Amino acid sequence: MLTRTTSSLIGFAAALLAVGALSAQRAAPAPATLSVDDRLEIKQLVSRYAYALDTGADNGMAYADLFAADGEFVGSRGTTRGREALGELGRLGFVDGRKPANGVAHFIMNHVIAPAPGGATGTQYMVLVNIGENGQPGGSFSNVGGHYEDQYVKTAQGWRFKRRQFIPSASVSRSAPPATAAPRPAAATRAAAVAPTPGTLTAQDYLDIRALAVQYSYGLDTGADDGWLYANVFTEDGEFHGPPAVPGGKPFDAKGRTQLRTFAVPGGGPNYVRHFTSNHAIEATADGARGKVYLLVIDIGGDGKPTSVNMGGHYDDDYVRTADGWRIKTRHFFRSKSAQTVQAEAAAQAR
Amino acid sequence: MRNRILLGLVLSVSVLSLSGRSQSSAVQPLTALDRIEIEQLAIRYTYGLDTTADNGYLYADVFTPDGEFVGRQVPLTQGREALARVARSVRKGNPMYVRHFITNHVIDPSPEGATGTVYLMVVDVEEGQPSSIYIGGQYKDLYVRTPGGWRIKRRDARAMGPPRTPGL
Repeated sequence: MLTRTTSSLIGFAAALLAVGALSAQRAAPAPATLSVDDRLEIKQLVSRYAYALDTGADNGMAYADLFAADGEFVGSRGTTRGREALGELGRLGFVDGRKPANGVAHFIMNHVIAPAPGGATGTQYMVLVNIGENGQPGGSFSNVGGHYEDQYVKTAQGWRFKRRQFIPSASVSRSAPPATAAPRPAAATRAAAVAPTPGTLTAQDYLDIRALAVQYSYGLDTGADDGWLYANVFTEDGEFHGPPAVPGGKPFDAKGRTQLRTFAVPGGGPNYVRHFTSNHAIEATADGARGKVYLLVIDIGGDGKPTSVNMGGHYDDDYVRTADGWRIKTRHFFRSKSAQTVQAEAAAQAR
Repeated sequence: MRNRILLGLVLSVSVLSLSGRSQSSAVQPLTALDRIEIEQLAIRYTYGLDTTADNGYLYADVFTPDGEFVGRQVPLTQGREALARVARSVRKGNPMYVRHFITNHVIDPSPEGATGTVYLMVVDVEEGQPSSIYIGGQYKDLYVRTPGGWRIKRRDARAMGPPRTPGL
């Protein structure tokens, strides 16, 4: 119960709570907030991680220098600590002493950042993609996909990884909680410090709205907090509408958090990643904001099954400010369709 | 006396010259809103291309009027009309279509404004059809601040390379 309450209060997936090494720093006071600049710098740090690793820049040391002096990476090879050892990781995959200058493989999305004792914590989804060689068409998703769990620390050189762990995607069998569970109120994500100006968005607004859309993915994939992590991304009367999972099936329609919650239960557990979102366009409206987000539902492979894209499309959202911070008022999902498919469907309906 | 005046003039000209040079090459820091607007710019690029909205001008207007796109198959596209034609040539484009997925956007201040790199994965995904990755790589960008906000001055999409990286 304590874990559930904590998860609800923090407002992030249970995965964040699993960053075990934080316990060693519990004596340190937690910062009240992270500034907008802190969040943006941490986001840049994570983006640079992909470039450093995929290009092997500076003979692998660009990768090593993203970590604090005592920083460590935890992955399938165990724990790697210290600049020289991390530099060796940065050189993995070198052919003839180098990697391609413009190689891309680590596609990192859904970045959640939260203040924590001694700095900040974060999680992201990652899928490793094999892009066609030398810019030739083609490519495939590898079976490497999952999420990172990070600790960040602010050093004299800026934000750095104190600890970064990669956890492969894995779903667990979970039993659905009672459908009649009492609603759990959403925790305040941010109290409005000043009266907002209608029709304008601050940098903080953009970050809050972006975090909201990312939390949606974690809530849906993990089923955390019995589905309330997902449901509480919406306003109390929030709505979701989407097409059926299979042709001829029942569309996804829900209004209110109690109905919305049912989409997220039982969920795949804290290590399950599936809803990869990107390209979040946000603009101010007279009564809040609206946005669009690209979605790829990726089933990470394993046990002989290749990674595959289940579906893709985009969300069309309306956001409103509430006393507890920004929330999704309505979200519609549209599957990707080419102009030719849209025309064919219109012609079929006209017949 | 005359020598002192000459020396003074020379020094003044030198200082002016130096200050002018330092102004033109000074790198201004980026504010939080600058970074967010540049991110939104790169995102609007994908919507412009995938939806072909506004007859291709949603895409074209992400660039400066003299902005340019350099690709592997298209050596150089420059100017608003030429860029809009590129967007209009996306035959599958419509408001439902998604194809250009971007992430890992690194932004740095530069003397001209800002530079950036973005990962790109072009995914063909449509209901009832098998999904596949068409192509991927990086965009390398130069952004400038205009009276209308941040715009792409130059986007280079030639940067495609083979992956040789284990997942870490």
